[in-house]
Amino acid sequence: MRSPFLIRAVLVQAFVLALLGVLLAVAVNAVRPNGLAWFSWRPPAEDSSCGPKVSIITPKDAMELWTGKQALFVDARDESLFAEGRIPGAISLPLSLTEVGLKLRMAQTPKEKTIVVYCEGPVCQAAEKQSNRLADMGFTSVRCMREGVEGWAMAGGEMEAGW
Amino acid sequence: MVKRYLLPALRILFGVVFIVASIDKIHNPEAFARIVANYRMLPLPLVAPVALTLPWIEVMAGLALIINWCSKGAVILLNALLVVFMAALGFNVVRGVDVACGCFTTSTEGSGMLQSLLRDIPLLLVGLYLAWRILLNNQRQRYNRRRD
Repeated sequence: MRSPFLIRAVLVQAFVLALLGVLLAVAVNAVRPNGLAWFSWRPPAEDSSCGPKVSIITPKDAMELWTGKQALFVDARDESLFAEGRIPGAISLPLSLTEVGLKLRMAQTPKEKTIVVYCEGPVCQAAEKQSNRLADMGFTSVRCMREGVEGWAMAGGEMEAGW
Repeated sequence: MVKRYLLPALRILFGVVFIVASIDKIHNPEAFARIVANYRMLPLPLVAPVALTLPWIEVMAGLALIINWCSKGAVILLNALLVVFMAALGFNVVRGVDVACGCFTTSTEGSGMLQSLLRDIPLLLVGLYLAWRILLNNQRQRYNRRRD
């Protein structure tokens, strides 16, 4: 196993295979009509929806609801992140909650209550998934704040920490 | 009998898994690039190069393992890729950030990161067993050749 020949052979073979893979990738990307720009590709700024049953809300609009105490804020991240920093008054409903757990925690909330669901930022998917679960449970006014706590804090929103 | 066919069967199976995993990523490079970006572990200029080349490297190494050509390099390369994938998944599980795995599909639906990570463990065990057997066989062949 310690043979230098073996290590060299493994490295050379792995390099050859990786190189062939890279060459194929370059060739295929060059000929396909929807090829990506190699170094200047950027992800789209924002996906436009959170699914058919859930509408998007911007941090600014969410702040108005929060100031007027018109909505229940739901933090869809893990409880550790919830404890580190959240929108004041938000409740923790992490994505890891089972259907039963989710129903129990939402049992006292009227179905027509406006609910704003958020996670970390635009790239996390917990808000989208959790808002859709809530909509499937029958809540009729579920909003998904795609920008998450990052967008909330950037828009000047208050934060609180601890339990 | 079982012993004779176990190694080739596992070798082909391991190769096929990686080829199957790469098909959708090759078909939808844009969607896969978004998933790679979502991991938030790479600087943006490196996202497209990784998203474009990774599936083809998986295909080449998987194919090499199936046809038993450069199998030593292929098995080590695939194990290394698997370890990197698991580290990336583990990193996001620990961070508590739930993003699409991008393991077998570019769809954002499906199993969570922790499930994907747990699914990779038996795959890694197969990969490590294969690496051990392939490298050991190679050593034996060299030893026998020298003795003859």
